[in-house]
Amino acid sequence: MKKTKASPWLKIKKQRYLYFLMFPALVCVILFNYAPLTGLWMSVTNYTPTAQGYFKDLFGAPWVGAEWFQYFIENDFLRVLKNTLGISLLTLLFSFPAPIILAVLINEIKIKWIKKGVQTASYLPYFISWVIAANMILTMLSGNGIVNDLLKWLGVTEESILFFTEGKYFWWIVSFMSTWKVMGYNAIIFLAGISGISQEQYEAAEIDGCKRWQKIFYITLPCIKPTILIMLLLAVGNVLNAGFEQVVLLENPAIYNVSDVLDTYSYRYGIGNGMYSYGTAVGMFRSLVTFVLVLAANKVARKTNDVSLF
Amino acid sequence: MSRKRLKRFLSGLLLTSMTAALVACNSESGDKKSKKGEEKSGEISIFEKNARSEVFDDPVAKEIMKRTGVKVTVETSPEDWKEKATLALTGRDYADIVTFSSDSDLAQKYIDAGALIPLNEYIDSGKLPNVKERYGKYLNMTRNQKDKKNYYLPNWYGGLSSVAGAFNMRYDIMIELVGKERADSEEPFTQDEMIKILKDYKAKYPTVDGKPGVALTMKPDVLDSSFPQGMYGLKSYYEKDGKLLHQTQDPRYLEWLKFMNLLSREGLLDPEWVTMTYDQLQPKLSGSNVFGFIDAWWDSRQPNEVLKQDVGENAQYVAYQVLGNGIKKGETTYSGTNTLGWDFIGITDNCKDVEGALKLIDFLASEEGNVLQFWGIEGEHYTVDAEGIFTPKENIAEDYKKDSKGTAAKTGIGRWAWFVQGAGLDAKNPLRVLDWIDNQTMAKQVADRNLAGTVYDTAPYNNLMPTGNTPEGLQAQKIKDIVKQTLPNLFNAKSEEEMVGLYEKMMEELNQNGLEKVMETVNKNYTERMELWEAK
Repeated sequence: MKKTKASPWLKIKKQRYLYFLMFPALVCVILFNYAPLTGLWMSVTNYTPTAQGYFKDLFGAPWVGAEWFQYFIENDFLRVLKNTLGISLLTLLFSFPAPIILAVLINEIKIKWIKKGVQTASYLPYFISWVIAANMILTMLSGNGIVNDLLKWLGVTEESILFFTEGKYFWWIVSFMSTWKVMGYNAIIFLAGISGISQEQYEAAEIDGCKRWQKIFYITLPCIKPTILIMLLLAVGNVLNAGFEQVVLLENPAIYNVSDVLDTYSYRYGIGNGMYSYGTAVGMFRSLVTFVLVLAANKVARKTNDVSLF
Repeated sequence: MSRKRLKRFLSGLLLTSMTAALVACNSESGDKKSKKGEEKSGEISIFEKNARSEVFDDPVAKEIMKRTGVKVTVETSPEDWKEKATLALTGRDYADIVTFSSDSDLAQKYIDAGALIPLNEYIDSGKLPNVKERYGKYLNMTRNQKDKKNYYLPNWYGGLSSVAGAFNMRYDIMIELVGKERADSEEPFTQDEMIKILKDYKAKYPTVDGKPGVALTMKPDVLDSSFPQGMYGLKSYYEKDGKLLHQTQDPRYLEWLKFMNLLSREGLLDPEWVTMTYDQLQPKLSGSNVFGFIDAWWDSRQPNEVLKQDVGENAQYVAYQVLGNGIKKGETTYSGTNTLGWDFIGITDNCKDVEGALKLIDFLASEEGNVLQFWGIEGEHYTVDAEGIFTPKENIAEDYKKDSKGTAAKTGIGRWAWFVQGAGLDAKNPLRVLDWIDNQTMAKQVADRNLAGTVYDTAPYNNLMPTGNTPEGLQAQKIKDIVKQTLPNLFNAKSEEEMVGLYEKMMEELNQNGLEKVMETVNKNYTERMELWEAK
């Protein structure tokens, strides 16, 4: 068959129905993902809503340049960034390998109903709302809660440990909660990857006398490596997203020092106190840092493993 | 599927989805129009920050609509009301009438944004006769600083007599520890006496029913109300040489901190107070292992009912005053009240039926409107005798005692409170059915007796802190955050020296974060407010 290079217009015309189908989604993306970006203008002005209407207020607001960014960097930036990275990296440390381990373990279970049961039980927490989950944790970790009762019974402590009054526990609690909640759900992605591995490889390994552990390390894990790397890249993009809901629901004023993350901080100032410009500046700062992080991680992944998002 | 059929199928799909989208858009805009009252005049939407339900169809609600001829719909916020009101302002998507908390600066933000309409024209032209008569001097005091116009009306205004914060202690245990005569005395306890009593309790009741005995508990937000600070006569600000200084700069503040730290070090203060919420505190107080709590006396309503059933008639939390070192009776400030009311309510520029809104407001602000909201319908919910004394119907009083929130939701009595004054209804009658019931309880009677003279007006000091998108606004917020964060550490410090050290460090941090500049703005705002109040 003779191949000719079709002009782009001809291609579009040929695929017009597909473009028609794509149109609503495109409108949604423009409307909800790109149009709100105009609001970023607030971060370099002193925006105050008046009777003139949103756009006039937005573009007519006095220019302040990098004043809000400067205030943030001079005052709370380091503390908030430390908390954000601390909570995120700790969460990443647990929540990233946990689903891989869980998926491999589930895959090794040979009895079908146990396998299904474990899988269902492990992803149920994903469907519990953060409000409920946070209240469960608060109750369990309270002075008279089950955890303290258990620790006292085991003789680990005599007095109740005040988990939410002393800052040193906070990062661990949030990381543990996030891992518990998403572990089962993320394991599904890895299980899907594992199910794509050809059975012939396992059979060949068996003939070669491979043990179970060897099959995991030499077949299963290398085969799902691309999935693992893509998931890691996506997780890096979320590093500055320490989790708004869990932090807001679990924090209290006594531990703001260790609990304030970029999201809760910009929320408290921006929405809570109506300091729109400052809140936007903090939010924009977060986006910029995340963008740089993703670019860097993408580059590293491409160089080392030939896997990248773009 | 052949190519032709696929084409036809896709065209059909596209047409259907476009038609559906058009219909949806059309009906949505139709809804919006009717919501904002463009089509249905006589319908007013009210954003009520305290409401938990948007249903406005209880007997009192129906009666309000019947007597005014205005259909009312209620909008509320399931989470933080400030968040919704702030977002509504940016999108200019607020209700026709909006309620604000008077300790927030949102009402001012709405005025600055031109979202609230001035009421002076209507008051002067006689369209709001009841408002003019009942609000009197408060209209002058709630004018806007910049243009001297009234954009909102206060709610719960004028109530200066109500006592609030106290050390609420279990009366039966107080009798055990200090004897009946002292427990019944209206003489306040000194802080040393109170510490001894709390220690005696801990010694006598290390555990109760298998749980550790809690000498004293509280929730963190009482510090915002300055209830515990009241024992040292601390007010919202420290007045020195005619100038306002920050509360933390008051020398008595450090003395108060020493007392709280001592309570904590001696194990007399519940270590879980930092994370305590209202919903956690209520069941905790209903248990048998708590001796006392610092908060408004009325927070013991529900626990007292439970304790009466479970433990006995005298197992009731009653209010006591504790005097800080060097503080005399009459100098404490346990009960910060606000004569300008706890809420501000205004009509927004989204209101298309201003006449209807005015009619509604004038009725609700009248004595008749206040009585309807707090007592219900005469004959159905309460009776009035020849001397003008109000009495709730027996079933209403009984239901209210058992479940005040449920009864309010069912009957509407006390469920809605708009444009109400906060003192008693008149010389003979309390403001609400709830007060009528309270007046018969031991907790209220003791609170009235023991807390007399502890009331002070916070109205001059409310909302003086700089806000909004200004460097001072950011600094003010930072200062609030620093104090909030440091207080638990000050209470929990291992020794008094450590606490004093932490306090000095906090003051240093406050100064570094622009305390002086913030207080300059506070003083400027205060002077302007005083001038406004004095001006005619």
